[in-house]
Amino acid sequence: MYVAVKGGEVAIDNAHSWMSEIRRGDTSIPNISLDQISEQLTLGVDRVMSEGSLYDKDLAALAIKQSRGDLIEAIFLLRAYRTTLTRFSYSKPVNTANMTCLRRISATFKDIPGGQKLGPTFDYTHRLLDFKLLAENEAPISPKKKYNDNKMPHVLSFLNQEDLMQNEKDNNLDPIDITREPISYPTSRSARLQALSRGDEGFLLGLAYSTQRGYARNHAFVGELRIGIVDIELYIPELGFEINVAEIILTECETVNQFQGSKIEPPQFTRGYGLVFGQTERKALAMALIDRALRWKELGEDYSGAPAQDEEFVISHCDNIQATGFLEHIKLPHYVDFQSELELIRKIRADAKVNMKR
Amino acid sequence: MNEMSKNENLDIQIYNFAYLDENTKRMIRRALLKALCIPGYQVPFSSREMPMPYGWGTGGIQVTSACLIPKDVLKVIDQGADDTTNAVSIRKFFQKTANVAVTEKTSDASLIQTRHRIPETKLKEKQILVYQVPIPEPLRFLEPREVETRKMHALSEYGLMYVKLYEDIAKHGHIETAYAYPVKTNGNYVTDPSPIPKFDNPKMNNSPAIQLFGAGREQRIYAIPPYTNVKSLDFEDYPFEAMKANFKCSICGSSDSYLDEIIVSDDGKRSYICSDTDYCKEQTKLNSKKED
Amino acid sequence: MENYPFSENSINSSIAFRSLVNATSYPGRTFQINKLNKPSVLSNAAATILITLCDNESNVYLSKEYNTDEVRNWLIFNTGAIISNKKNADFVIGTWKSLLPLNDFKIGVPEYPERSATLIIEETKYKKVKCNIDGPGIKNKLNIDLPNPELFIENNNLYPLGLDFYFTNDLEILSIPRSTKINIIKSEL
Ligand SMILES: [Zn+2]
Repeated sequence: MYVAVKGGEVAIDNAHSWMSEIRRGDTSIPNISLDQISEQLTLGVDRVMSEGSLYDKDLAALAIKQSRGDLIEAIFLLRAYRTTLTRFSYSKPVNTANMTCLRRISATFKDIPGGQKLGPTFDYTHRLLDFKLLAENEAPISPKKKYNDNKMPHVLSFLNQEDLMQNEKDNNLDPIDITREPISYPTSRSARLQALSRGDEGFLLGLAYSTQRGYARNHAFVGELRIGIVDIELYIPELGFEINVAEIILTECETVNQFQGSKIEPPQFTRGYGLVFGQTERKALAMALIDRALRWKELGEDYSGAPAQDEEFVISHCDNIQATGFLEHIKLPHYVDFQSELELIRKIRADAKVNMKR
Repeated sequence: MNEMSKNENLDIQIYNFAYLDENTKRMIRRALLKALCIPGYQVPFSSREMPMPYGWGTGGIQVTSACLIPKDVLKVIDQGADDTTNAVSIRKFFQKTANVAVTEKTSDASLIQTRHRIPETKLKEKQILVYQVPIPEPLRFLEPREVETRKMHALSEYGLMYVKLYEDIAKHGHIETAYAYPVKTNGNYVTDPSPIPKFDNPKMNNSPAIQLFGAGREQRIYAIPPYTNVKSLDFEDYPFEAMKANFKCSICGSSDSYLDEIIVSDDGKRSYICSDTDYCKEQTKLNSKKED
Repeated sequence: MENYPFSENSINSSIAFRSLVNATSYPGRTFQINKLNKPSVLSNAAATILITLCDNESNVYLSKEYNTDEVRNWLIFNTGAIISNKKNADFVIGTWKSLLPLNDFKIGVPEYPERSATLIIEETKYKKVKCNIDGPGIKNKLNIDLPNPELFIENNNLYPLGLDFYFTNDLEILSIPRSTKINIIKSEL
C-alpha cells in the first residue's frame, strides 16, 4: 500500500498556499482583526450568521476573514462547522413581544403604543459617499438616549382584537427542523419558514420583488418591522424552571395582506411572516412577502403559476450553499461524460450523412 | 504553511472517526440498510453540510463516512483516475479523519468511492462501491417536481421515460443519452446510475459487490445489492448498446476499456488512453511480463 | 467506561455496521458480530443492531420477554430511543412466536416504502420449514430454514412495501429483507 502523491496533490497544495498569501494581501498593511470585522462590518456578520444558521459573531467574523469577504463562502464555512456541533437541547420559543427594540416601525399606523422608533437605519440617508470616513480616527457619537422601557406590543395584535386579522392558531406541533429531517413535499409552514430564514438574501429579494410586480401580488403592508434583543431561555429539567442562556438580536417582520374572504369566511387581513438572525431587514421583509405568497393554498386563493407561489420551486432553490455547490461543480472534470457525448454525436452525424447521400 | 499543518493535526482530535458524529452516522446507516432492502429506491436522508461543497461528492462522502472501518483500504477515483484533483482531495480527507490505508489498485480496495466511472477490473464480493450522485432522480428532467416523480415511482408509472427514449429514436435513430443512462433495478424501480458512461451500465448488473449511491444536496441514498438484476432501459427493436471510442489505448493497447480522448498536438491530433488509470497500469504490467 | 456497550464507540459501531451491511446485502448468509456490554437477556447480535442503529428518533417495540427494566434502561440510556407500541415501531425485538401476528407492524407506504419496521428475531426453538430463497443479494438459490414461511412469502408479495428481518443468535446475524423470494421445499419436518 502506498500513498498516492501525484500532480493533483501538488497542484492543490500550491493553489491553497497561494490563496492564503493573497488573502493576507500587502503585509505592510495591518492584519484585519476579528474584532474589527464583528464591530465594523456588523451587517455582513449578521448575514453570515443568519444564512449560516449559527449565531456566533466571532466565528462569523473569522469566516468572513478567511473567505476574503466572500459572504457565501463564509456562510458555507459556518454551515460546515455547524454540522459538527452536538445538539444538546432545544430552547423555549423566543418571545419577540418582549424584545428590547433597536428599531420598530409600522407602515400601517401613524401612532402605536410604545411608539415608532427609527433606530440605526440607512433609511432616509442620502447615499453620498462620506469622505469623512477616510479619516482614521472618526468616532461618531449619537446624542440620543437609545433604549427606553416602553412596552412594545406587536402592532398586529391590535388588529387581532377586532378580529380583523386572521388568527394564527397554535397547532401544538413541534416545528420541523429541516437540518434534521429531509424536506418532503408538500411541506409545513414551519419547515418553509426555516428554509426561508436560512435562504439566500438575493434569491429571496428577487422573488419578493416579483410578487410586488404582479407575479402573485398580495398587497403587503409592513404592519410592523422590529429589530432588537431577545432572551434565549432553556428549560432545565433538574431545576424545574428555565434559565437565560443568551441574548441574540433578531429582525422580525409582519406584513398585513388583503384577503378577499370566501363563502364561509368574511374578508379579513392575513399575515406574512419573516424572522431572521441579526439586523437583516431586507431579508426579513422579503421572507414575509414570500411566506404570504406560499400560503395561497391554505387561504384558498388561486394558483397563478407565479414562481413565488411554488413551494417546491422556492424551497428547493433558496439555499445558496446547495446552489453554489452544484453550480460550481461543473468546474470539476467531466471528461468521461463528455467523451460519451462526443462518441454519440459522431455516430449520429455519421448515420445522418449516410442517410442524406441516399 | 506551519499554521495550516497545526490545524490539520487539530482536526483529527476534534472530529469523530471518519468525520461525522455518531448520531449522523446512525441516521445515514438506517437509510443505507433500508436502501439495500428496497433496491433502486431513493431513501430520503437529512444530509449534512460537509466541509466540501454540495455537488463535489458530499453524498458519496457521507456514505463512505458512515461505512468506513479502520481496516478498510480505500480507493477514490474521479473520471476513472486516482490522481484527479477532487479524488485526491476526498482521499486526503479520509486519510486525515479516519486514518485508513489507501490504494490505487482496484483489487486491493475494500471500499471504492467513485465519480462517473465503474472500474474496469471486476469487483468482488464484499467490496463496496460508493457512487457520488448529482441528480438521483432519473425522471427529474422529464418532470421537475418531486411530488410528481415520487408518485410515478410509487405507481411504477414510467411511460414518460419510454416515450422520451422512443422520441429520440424517431428523431435521430438513436437514444440520445450517452451517460447517466437509466436502468431498471430488480425489475421494479427506474434508477439513475449516476453520470457514468453507458459503457459502464452492464457492470452494474449482477455484480458481486455492494453498490451504494449518495446524493448529498438532493438528500437521497439508494443502493443496488450484489447479484441484483440491473437492466438498461431499451426496446426490443432497439436493444441497449454499450458504447466506447473504437480505438486502442495508446499506452497499454487495451481495446476493451473505456477510453478518454486527448488532444495531443496544435493541429488537433487525437490520441486515446484508458480512463481507468489503475487498469491501464495493470495492463501495461501484464504486457511487459508477456514480452519477458 | 466499561459499562458502555462499546469500548470504542465510533470504531466498534463502524465494525458492527459493516456486518449489518454485509448481512443485508447477502440475505440468508450468516455474518459475525462482536461481543459488547448488554443486558443478559439480549443476544450480542440483537443488542448490536439496536446500539448501532437507534437514536432518539427511533421507536422500538420490545416483546414481553424483552420489555424489562434492565433492557429499557439500557436502551434509553445508550440510545435515547423511544419505547413504542407495535404500530409505530421502527425497530422490533422479540422471539418469533411473541411477535405474531405480523400485521400490526408498519410496512411503509407506496411513496415512502422505507417507512417500515425492521424486525429483530431472537433465535429460539420454533418449528422450522426447509426453504429455498432467491432474490437480490443471492448468487445461487440458498437453502435455509424459516419459521412460518408463508408469512415471508406474504411479506415478499407486498414488495416494495414490507418488513425487513434480522435473525440473531448470540454472535451471529442473518437477514431476510422484503426483497427475498421464498420457496417452501417441504411443508412439514
Ligand atoms: Zn490503457
